[in-house]
Amino acid sequence: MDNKLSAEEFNKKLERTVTVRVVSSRGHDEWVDIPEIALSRIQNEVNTSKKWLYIDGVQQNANTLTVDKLISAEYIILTNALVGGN
Amino acid sequence: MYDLKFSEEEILKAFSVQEVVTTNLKKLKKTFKTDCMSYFDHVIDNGLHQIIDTIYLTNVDDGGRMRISSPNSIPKPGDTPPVTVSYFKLPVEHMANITTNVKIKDIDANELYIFLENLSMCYNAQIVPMTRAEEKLYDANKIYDDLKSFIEMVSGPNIFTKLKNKTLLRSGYINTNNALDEKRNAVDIASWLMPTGKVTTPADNASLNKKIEKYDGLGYIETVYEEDNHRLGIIKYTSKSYYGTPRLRKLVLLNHADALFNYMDAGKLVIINKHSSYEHNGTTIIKSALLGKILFTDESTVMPESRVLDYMVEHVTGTDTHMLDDSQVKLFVKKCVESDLRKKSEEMEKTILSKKLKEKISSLNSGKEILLNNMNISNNQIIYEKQVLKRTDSARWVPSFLNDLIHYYSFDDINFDAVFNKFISECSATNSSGIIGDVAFKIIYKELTNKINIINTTTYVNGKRINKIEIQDCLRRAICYTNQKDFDEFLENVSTCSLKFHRYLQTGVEYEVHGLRHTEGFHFKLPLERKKNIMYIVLGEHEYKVKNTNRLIDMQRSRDLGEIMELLLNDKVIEGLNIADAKDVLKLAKFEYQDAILKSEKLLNETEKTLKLIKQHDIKMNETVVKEGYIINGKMRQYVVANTDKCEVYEYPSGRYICIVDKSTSQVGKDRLINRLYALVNDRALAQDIHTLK
Repeated sequence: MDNKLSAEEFNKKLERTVTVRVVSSRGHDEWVDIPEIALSRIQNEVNTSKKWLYIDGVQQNANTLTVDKLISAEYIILTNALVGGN
Repeated sequence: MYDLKFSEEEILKAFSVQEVVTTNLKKLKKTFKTDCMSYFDHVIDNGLHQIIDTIYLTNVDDGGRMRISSPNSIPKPGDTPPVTVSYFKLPVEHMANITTNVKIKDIDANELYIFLENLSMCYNAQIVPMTRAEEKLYDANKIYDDLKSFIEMVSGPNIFTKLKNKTLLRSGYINTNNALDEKRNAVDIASWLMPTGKVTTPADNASLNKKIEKYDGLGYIETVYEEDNHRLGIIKYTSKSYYGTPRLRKLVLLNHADALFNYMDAGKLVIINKHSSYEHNGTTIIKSALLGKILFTDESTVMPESRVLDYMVEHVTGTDTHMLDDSQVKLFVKKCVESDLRKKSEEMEKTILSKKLKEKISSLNSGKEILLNNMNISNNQIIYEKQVLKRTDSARWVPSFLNDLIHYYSFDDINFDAVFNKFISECSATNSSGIIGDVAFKIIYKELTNKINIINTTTYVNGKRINKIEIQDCLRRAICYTNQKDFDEFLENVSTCSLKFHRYLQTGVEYEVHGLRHTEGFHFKLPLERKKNIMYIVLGEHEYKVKNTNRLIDMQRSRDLGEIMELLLNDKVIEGLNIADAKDVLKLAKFEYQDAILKSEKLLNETEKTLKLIKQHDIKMNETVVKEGYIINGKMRQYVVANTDKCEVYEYPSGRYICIVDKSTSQVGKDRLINRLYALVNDRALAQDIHTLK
């Protein structure tokens, strides 16, 4: 019984996905991934492409982001970074 | 055989009429006005042929010019037999919008003279006398008995009635900015329109003439004609130009219901509206401003100097004529003097400031630090909002740097923008080293002589070879980096692939193709990718190797699809692309571009929902209006972001411009706007990166 339940949970876990929108020259890209992969892709985009992460409109530090936070998020977007001009 | 079919009796009868007419014209011994008609024809028409004798008004004696024509069609059997008629045909110009051929049985010399006199007056006043109603009544085929009805049509008093009733097609010189150069014309026109009108003129024209010489556009009401609750004024004014100072005149007609009617008095001084240096374009002046920009209601007003008049013209607002009495004129004089004094004191203050600034700058040499427009300045570095500009190759570079700047900028304008631009420009032009923001730079210009003794200069920034024309851009970007490693990595990237190519790698190469018609044509974009120093066009699952990226980029200037196709098929530009491939490339590129724009619009809609923002129109701030944009409630303050290509950001409601730039150009459509909307909602968290938010 216990084993069966954990298999269901495992399947559910596999079926859970998060959608991430990324501002790009193609209008925007959209990925749908399982949270664990999405987390690593987000961190990679933030650290290499210097994107900024917003979850439900609030800016987040990608390096301290958790899978739970991603699962509970309704809207995830990576925008291009800005800087103060002269 | 040609048969004229005119009986001798008919011809004799017709020519005797013509002889009487020409004799009477000569007898009158008057010069006929020829502005609108210089000749007329005597026509003898037998229904098939015409004998036409042209009589010239400038020389009635010469007997005219005779010709025979056959304008009519041959009568068919059964048609009413033609009757021979004779008449005079007057080709009158400027009476209606087209030449009017008036047919008349007989010509009375005196009537013709009066008709042409009146018509000439209409022409000189640029008035088209025939109204639409009169045009309908006029019958081009009818042979009129005499000219009486036409004289009525063009007589001055009747034209005045038409002006009052607003039935004229064009009111000519009246109530327009058309100017009359000669006094005679203006007075002639006025007395022709109102021959029985009451005429008033100022008591002392000489002193008024002297007054108006003072100022360009200053004038006075020289004569007023009054009749039937209407006043027709002649305004005389000076107009200074390259060719001298002519005195011009304008005609103004007002009825008693007009607000300005009571001020239309002879001798009143006015400053007229000078729309442009070209005064003869005939624009209708709006009713409320017929008497000019300013009207001086007191005739005794002492006319102030030109400087004060300039001040008055600058400070009266709106389009109506402004009435100024003596006390208001005095008030203007006072205000103008105060304004001049204030300007003078500001100038003095600036001179003192400049002197102080020079003293401050020289104090840098003794090791002192100064504060200038929020910049902390010492003799070897300038710091603004923690952003450092420093040269390590020169110990005391700042004093001479600032001394150069004060030659080109006023005190207030020596801000970080100006300093930064000059710093970048100076450093990039020569071997130099220093610090920009948090990162160090070192520029080296190295000269190398090749085998054939040609000297080539190669340029290096931080040891990385950089295209000379991109050094300035690289230094500008330095301010965006917070650590040396990132900046050097950026330079490494620019060294292997220039900034120009980097930009195209991020954005793709965009083309605009024009179609045959205005609405045809489309945009498309070729995305580029770089692998092992080779450029590829990547569309869907296809990759095409680019052999000459510069030619591909230069082709953006072309709008011709044929030229673009030729380029795509050129093996020296793109390798191995055939016609079918090229078509596919265009199709995919067009689709991808349109798709990107649509996706970006969709993302903006989602952003509006997520951030709970509503697009607003005509957002008013101090001295700034944003036609379309968003008001954003940040944690630090409120902002307005304009929905334009530049996505300008302002502090709300002060309207202070906040400069924010994108670090990346990898975006299309509304993406710039989306970046700003998210960032400004999170202003406190991002102020560290966007220093202009602090």
